[in-house]
Amino acid sequence: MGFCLEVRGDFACFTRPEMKVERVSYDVITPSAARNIYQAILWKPAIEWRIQRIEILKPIRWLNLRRNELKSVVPSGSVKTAMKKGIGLLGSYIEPDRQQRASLLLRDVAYRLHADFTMTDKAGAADNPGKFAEMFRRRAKKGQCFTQPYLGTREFSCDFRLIEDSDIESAALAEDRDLGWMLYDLDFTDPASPQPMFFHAQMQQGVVHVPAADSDEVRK
Amino acid sequence: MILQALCEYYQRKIKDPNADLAPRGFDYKAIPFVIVIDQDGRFIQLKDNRESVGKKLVGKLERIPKGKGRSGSKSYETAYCLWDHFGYVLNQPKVTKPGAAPTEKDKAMVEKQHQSFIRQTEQIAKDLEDDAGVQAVYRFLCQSEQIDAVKSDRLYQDCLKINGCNMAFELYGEGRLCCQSSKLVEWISKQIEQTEIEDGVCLVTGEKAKVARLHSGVSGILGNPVPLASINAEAYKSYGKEQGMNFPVSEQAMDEYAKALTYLLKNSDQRLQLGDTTLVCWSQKGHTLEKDVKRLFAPATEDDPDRGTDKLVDRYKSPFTGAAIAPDDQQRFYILGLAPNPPARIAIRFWMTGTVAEFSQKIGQWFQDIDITGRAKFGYPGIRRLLLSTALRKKDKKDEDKNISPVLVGEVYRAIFQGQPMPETLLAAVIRRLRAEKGYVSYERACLIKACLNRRKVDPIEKEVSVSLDKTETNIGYRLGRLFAVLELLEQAAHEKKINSTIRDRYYSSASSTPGVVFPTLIRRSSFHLNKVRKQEKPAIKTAVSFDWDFGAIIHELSPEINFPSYLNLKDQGLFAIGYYHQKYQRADFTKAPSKQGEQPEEVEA
Repeated sequence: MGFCLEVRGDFACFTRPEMKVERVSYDVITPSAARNIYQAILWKPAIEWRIQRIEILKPIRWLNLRRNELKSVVPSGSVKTAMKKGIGLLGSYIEPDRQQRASLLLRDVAYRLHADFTMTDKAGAADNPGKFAEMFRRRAKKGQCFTQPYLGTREFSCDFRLIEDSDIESAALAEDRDLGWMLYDLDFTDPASPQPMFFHAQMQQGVVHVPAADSDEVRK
Repeated sequence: MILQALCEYYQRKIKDPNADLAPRGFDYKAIPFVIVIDQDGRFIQLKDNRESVGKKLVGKLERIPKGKGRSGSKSYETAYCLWDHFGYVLNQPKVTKPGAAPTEKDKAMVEKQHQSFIRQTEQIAKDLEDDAGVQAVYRFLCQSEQIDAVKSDRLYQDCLKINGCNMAFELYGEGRLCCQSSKLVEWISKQIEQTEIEDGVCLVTGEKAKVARLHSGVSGILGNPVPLASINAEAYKSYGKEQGMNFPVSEQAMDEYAKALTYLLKNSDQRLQLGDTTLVCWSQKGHTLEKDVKRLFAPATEDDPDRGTDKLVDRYKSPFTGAAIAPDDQQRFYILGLAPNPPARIAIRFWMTGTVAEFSQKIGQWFQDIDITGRAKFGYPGIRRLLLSTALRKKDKKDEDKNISPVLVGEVYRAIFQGQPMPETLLAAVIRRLRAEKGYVSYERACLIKACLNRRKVDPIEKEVSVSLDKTETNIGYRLGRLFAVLELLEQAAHEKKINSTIRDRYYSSASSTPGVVFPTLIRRSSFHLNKVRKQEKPAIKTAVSFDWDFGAIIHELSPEINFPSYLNLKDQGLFAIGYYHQKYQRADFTKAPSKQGEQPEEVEA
């Protein structure tokens, strides 16, 4: 089995962790960002998506942007107090907390994502892979999603299309590139402190092969 | 990839004895004065370790054990290893201004600092019993009369003039600092290894390692050293992680990339500064292109065109025209653009990678694109000179770079090095300045417009803008530009005296954007000019005939009944400027050099 989605958008920002304040994007979509696109269309605790392959369809182009952003978060302490009291101010005001942040974004991106899902131990008696596969196909075909899928950051939403016959699709970008160590995903085994996982991404003729999370290629 | 490439550069440069790059745990610092002592810790002399750089005396850079960061109320507890400022070393209060009397607070502080320095040295002396230098320093510190002896040295007053002057020790006859002995170096590396707990996967190397909590600062962009990566507000955190845990980079890799970048920024051969954007470039194994980028895009003698640049450009044009590519050219090449985002951060403006061959080809292409008649006189312009022509000039020429749009700088670099179309805003900016400065088409502007137009064509069969006058070009904008130049020359010929306000001054802007409105008037007026020229002395008749001929060639060949378009779009306005430039300076003698005029810019608000 396997599901292929084509996603495209005007902008994308798959932020490199080391440049997360003055954002700099990875050259291509990360497996975790790709996974989240699938999850936006269908996700249940019973299934777990795994990205297998990423095809890059357009040349990698960059764009600089400076934006005003908020530097603070609502403190969890005041949320708790408000819950206890039943009343409280939880607003954030941009005026004192404005920060100008530069970002180096990708522009005009298009990817073909290949993914599959496995059943988790949270699957109940009534759950089976066929059911979820059909659900996903139906939803993806109709363009249904729980949340709007996005490319790295939520402001860069993307369009998606289910690809059923990949033979008739255009070829990927004819380029080889060593992309270096790339964020694979976060390991949520310890929910209190999720640990990042990395893999050595290599683009060969526009295709990045994504190893399985439990393989040696993924460092955690 | 940026950090990886920087670490790679560090690995390459650390092998180079000429590069002042220190290994892990060490750093290069200016040490202006050195205390020379003997085996027993007796003071011998104070050595002046300064060199004259220009008019100033600057302390020589010495490789010393890197000090930990000192901040907070207990900062005095951190002393450096066998070197520090005179407060720690000699119990000399550090005051706000050289010569000022120390306050009580200063005195109390320096006492604490000195004590920590002694404690620290004692500790090292215990661990390294067989290192003569370390033992000597410890003995020196134990004898307060030796410290007083330093203070009575005649050079000591010079030392006090430097606020917080750094000092180190040297054992008499050894010729190197005590903190540079091989035993100490080994000891420090061991200390580092022992304290490392593997607590994360490094995103640069992919190995398990000790994650750096705080990243070292990189100097050379903002006034103070500023780290490339840091978390300084709540919103930047992920999953509630603190500082470096948000972006796990090993201590080793962090040290390497920070040192490599600082080194690159200090190395002026590989650094280009324009406005607030700083470009640095380097190659994988070392290639002449590293330095050529600066020589090509920021020639040292900008006003007096260096013919050396021309030769260099020709070399880069040759791979473009199909000459052989050396195997050496297949190595990677990196271009990084940095910009300050004051007060606390450095932002990455652009990042480009490719092979040397790819970049060389793009550079060749660029110089091909900006090549226009007049080059023999003005040479290939650097990037600063070009972009200044898009900005409001100042009479005093001070800080003119600030008038260049910072966004434009990044975009233009990107377009050049990736061979992409120039940003649309660039053409608009040039045209806007042209109109504001009454149609002053300088050499630099012509270069830029040509590059913009040649790069934006989509259709490969579409005609390129030529280097010099192209009489076969039938584009209406180009033809009208030429016509306008002829009209201007005719007006000049008709007047013996200097004209205060020429038709260029008055009509360029409208002629280039709405020719339909202006040209009929101009043509009508030109017949008077023509008559006047004919009435002049004999040689003038020849001129008049040639003008007549020019008219015919430019307009009637185009269409017998010419309709002046009511509006020219941006592209045609660009071609108008090029046509005007080509026609006006076709003889390439440049007796009235366009650039000379540019040096006294007309200050007009855009």
